[in-house]
Amino acid sequence: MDNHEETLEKAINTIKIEVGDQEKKILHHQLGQFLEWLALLEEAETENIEAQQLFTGVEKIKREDQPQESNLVEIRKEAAAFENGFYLVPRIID
Amino acid sequence: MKVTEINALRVAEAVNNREVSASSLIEEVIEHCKGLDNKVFSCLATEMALEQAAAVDRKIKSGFNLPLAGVPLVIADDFSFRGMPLALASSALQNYHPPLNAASVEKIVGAGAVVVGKTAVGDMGLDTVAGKSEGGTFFKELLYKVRSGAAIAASCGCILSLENDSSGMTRQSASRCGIFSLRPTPGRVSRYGLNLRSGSFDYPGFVATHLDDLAVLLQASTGYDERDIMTAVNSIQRDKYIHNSNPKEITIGFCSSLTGFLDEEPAAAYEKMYLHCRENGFKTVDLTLDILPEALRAFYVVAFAETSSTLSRFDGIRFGMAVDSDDLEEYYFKTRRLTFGDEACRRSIFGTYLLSENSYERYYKKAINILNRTRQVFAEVLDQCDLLLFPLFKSVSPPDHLNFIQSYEEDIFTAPVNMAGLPSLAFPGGVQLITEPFGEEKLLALGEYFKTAAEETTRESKEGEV
Repeated sequence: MDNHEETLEKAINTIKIEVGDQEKKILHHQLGQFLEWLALLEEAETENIEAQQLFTGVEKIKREDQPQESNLVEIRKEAAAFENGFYLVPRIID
Repeated sequence: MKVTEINALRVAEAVNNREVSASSLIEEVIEHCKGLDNKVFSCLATEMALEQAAAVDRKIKSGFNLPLAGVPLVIADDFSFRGMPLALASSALQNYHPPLNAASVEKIVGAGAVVVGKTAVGDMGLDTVAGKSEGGTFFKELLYKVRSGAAIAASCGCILSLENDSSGMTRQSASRCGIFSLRPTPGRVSRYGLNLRSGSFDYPGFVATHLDDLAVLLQASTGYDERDIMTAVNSIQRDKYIHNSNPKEITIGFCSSLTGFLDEEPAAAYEKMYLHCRENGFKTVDLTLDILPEALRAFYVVAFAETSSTLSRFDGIRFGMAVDSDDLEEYYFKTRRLTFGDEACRRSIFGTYLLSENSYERYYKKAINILNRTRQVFAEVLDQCDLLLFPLFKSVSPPDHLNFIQSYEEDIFTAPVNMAGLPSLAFPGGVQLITEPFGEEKLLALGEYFKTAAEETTRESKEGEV
């Protein structure tokens, strides 16, 4: 197992997506193509680059960091089912 | 008056003057939409649209004058709108009905527009095409010609549409359909209610058949929104640029070196637009931008990383399809496999890979540095001109979507612009105008000069095909 394959395997397990052996081979091949495509990044000179603001001269409002009263009636509307102050979701494990 | 053949301003004028009712216009548009390829829309809002139209009529009767009165609006299925499902072409959102309205859509509806339906998007709303999910196949069947349902709908008589223009796909598609598209400066329009995959780049893009309509759309949707911290309070007005600006005082940047990247037809269109600038008396300056290939790659590294994080929220518990399993690990693995299409899987896995210990410094950190460098480079280029004339795509025929790298390459002229946070106005024929942040008024005002040339280019190209 090469280094890419090992990291790919870890990534699959981290993100928790079931991938069959055949699909894994395809993904490994595609990852190789993708990393080859990204090789240009490795050559790029990126020393001493300052972080750039997206834009300047724009006024922003910052809200005070204070809790606000919530509207339980509105919150309940978002839930498919709501009981005794809890959202109800389908049971996954017994 | 046939609503599907006129522009939004004319529709609004007719409804405001009570020449025609919004209800009858919307009824006509809905019938028209039903006649279109049903794969363009993920859903039509027949009853809801008629109720909205009736509300507009009542407002007009009580003396209101609405800038978009009775104008049909189509939104892509990545915007939340109460009463309409949000599916993102994926069973991961099966039966999901958003409890809120996207701020941009709400504002446009407040200006009198009526949402007639939602257009289909790719797998999980990702720009590129792939996917085993039912909705994702829509693009495959659409001959790969246009990658955006919103652009198709607007060009087929729905007049106005909104779509997430993350990598520039909306602008490219609108141009391919022979219509106009605007991606405003991030901060100009609220993103609240837009279902984000890549938070750094996702942003509403406007599509319209007429340039003037984009100005009304922008005006209706712009402004501070406390639910989106990114929105700016003061949208800077560029008052000196008005429709009768003197071209001799305006400098247009052109990158002659980019024509080497383009196929024959887009290269000819780009050069024609340049000549049009010269003929109209604009000052021109030839500029160099050699950061595009690196910027494109950096864009995709950041987009993949962010998408992997976003998609990990989907687990089938509150909504969406899920497998039946007693084992929690197995439940997650199998549910994600069931609900994610090929592109969503690829981005989730590769994104996680790029953020792994081994790859973070090598790819992600480097990409962030290039993102900053791209912003710097574009700012330097825009210091030398008022507007930058830029291509939109390499080839008139879209790439082969079976090759994912090729489809990312197609965004080489749009993704770096989005990354730099610049507003862009796309024209038919494969060109876009770019300017500094918050310069949308300038783009729209000076865009009038380019409109005719762009439309001529498209006409000539269509005649060539015949």
